[in-house]
Amino acid sequence: MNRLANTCRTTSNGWPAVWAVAVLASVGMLVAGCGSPDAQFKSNRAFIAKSLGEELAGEGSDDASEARAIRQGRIEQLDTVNAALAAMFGQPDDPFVVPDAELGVTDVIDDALLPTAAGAVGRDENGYARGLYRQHCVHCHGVTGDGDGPTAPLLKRYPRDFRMGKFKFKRTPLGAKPTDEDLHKVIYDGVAGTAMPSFKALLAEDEIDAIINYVKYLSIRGEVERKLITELTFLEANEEVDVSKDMLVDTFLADVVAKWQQAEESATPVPAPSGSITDQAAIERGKVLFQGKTANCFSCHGVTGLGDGQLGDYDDWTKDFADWGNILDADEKAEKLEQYIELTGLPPRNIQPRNLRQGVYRGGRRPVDLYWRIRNGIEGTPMPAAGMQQSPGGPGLTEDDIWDLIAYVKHLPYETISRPPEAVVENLRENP
Amino acid sequence: MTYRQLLSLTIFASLIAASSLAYAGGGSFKGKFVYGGDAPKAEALKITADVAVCGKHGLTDEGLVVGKDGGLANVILFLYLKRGDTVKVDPAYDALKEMPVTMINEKCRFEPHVTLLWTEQKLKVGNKDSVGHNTKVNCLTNDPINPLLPANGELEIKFDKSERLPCQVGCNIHPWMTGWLVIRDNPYFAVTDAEGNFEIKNIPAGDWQFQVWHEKVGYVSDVKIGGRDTEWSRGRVDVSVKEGGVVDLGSVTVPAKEFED
Repeated sequence: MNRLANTCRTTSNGWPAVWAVAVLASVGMLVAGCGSPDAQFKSNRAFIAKSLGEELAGEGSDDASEARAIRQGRIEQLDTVNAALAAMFGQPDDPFVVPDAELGVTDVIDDALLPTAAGAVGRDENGYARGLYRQHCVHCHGVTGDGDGPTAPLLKRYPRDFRMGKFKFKRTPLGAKPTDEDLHKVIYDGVAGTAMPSFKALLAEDEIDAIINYVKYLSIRGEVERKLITELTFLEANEEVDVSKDMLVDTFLADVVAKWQQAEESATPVPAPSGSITDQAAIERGKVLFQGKTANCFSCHGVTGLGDGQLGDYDDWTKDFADWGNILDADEKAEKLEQYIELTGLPPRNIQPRNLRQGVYRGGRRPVDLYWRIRNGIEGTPMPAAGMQQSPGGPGLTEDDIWDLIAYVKHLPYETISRPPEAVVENLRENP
Repeated sequence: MTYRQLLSLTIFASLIAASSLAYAGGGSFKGKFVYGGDAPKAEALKITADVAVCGKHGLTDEGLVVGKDGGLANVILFLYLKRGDTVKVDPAYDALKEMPVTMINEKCRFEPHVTLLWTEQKLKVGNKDSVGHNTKVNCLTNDPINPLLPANGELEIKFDKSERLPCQVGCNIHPWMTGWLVIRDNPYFAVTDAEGNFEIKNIPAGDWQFQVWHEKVGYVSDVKIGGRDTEWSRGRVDVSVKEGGVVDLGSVTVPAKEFED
């Protein structure tokens, strides 16, 4: 608050001749502090509450004064964490990643592209776009990239929170980051069946690149924040947080950056199918696999593919705070739920196995997209990686089995039963 | 017992014998954990999927398992090391490197409930049920896994990084299934058995701290030893190991209130 007030005074002092501006500024100060405050990254409140909630609530000890000291210690540690984050990543109007040549941050984040996506919406002196993230993304994904923008609670499927560093639609296996091409596809094509629109008509290629760059920046920042908060859980409340370069950059940041650097090389290669995937025999084989115990698709997607198998589960973003499905005690569940909604504003919702009869594919409709979904599983969701044969003829699937499954899944929307009966068009004038 | 089981048992026994031959030194750390209260009745789990297969085992919640004489099972103990600190592993453990650790989906639960894995070892995840399982593991440091395991399926997985807390293991197809996977870069860990006992052998002589953790308690910090209240800050207990010596914690009682949420 003090800092803002000072900024105001500086502004009005800086323009002594423009009396009206000074007056307006002081009116603003009276009413709302001083215009709109600088954009700030939000702390990961839910993760902090999960990690240190009891101690922050003053329940860290049976002894009241000790509990207060613990609480105070934690608050100070969290201040240190926030200061460290600001020093490493800046703020939304002036983002950067602490430069370190050895680390190879520049391989992953292009500093020069950051202003195109970050900061306030506008144009630079050459007419190039600025603040594209705030123009196009922030409403859903939030300034912090926490998936908690103003429209988030209104959406049936909540926008992605980038801070866990997990992405669903990618060509890489679990634990690996998406490639730039994977992120490009999500922005360019959108995510079918969700509120994520296609930006292909709105953004030029270099603008999409700038947004990919900024999403990676937000994700890296969010993951480092989680690592720092986790680190506190291994410390006593009165211990000092190690914010040396060795720790912040060479350990935490390096870990996350390395994963992004490896994305490209971790892509899962796609072998060509040995036959046509529109072949009736392939579809039939796929159906048997889909309903069988080796592929096990039916457990979640239902025997008929309607997505009605497993309905009580949650995704990893929702489960991060609590394992909702497994809290047996009703009071405990209610208490956790209230706390979670207070912290995030987003009531936990079940994850739905896809209804495969609708022909709507979140991560893309190309056979190769389905290949990666089935072969690798979908990160952050219950969808597992296919159980492949470990030795020829052993239990598990072959590459051709996967293509047969794709054949069947691609065929499902075209089965007669998948299509509702259409109204008969009558020409009343001809047949009165 | 089938011939094959007998054979593998014999091989296992000879490996144990081989490893004790290779005994090189250090001391042991042992003790017994006891539940401080009346043994609670294990809650029956809600079997919501594959009822025909999974419903016949009378599955109960394994979050708190109390055995004979109040012995507390599934207390996890592992050597606490500060970041960057290492321990020289006694050669007595060398034979373990070649022995994969198994974590099996069996009777719609994880066997064992707590799996201990040294990063030198491979983890063999298996499925002995007639239904498919997926085994989802989310850790703090290692990459997550979520393979589907068909009936009789088996998969070898290598985890390279040490974890400072046990990783939770689950199966989304059978959401009641919960297990824990301890991954450490040394084999100085243990989980208490059905009677609450544990023993860790061949610990190099020196002053160490062991971290004590239980899935319902978190760090086990407030305990009673010999009737006296004892506090282990963040679940860390000092253990001073002497060459050829045994550090015996004796009977450690964890008060019932520590298990309440």
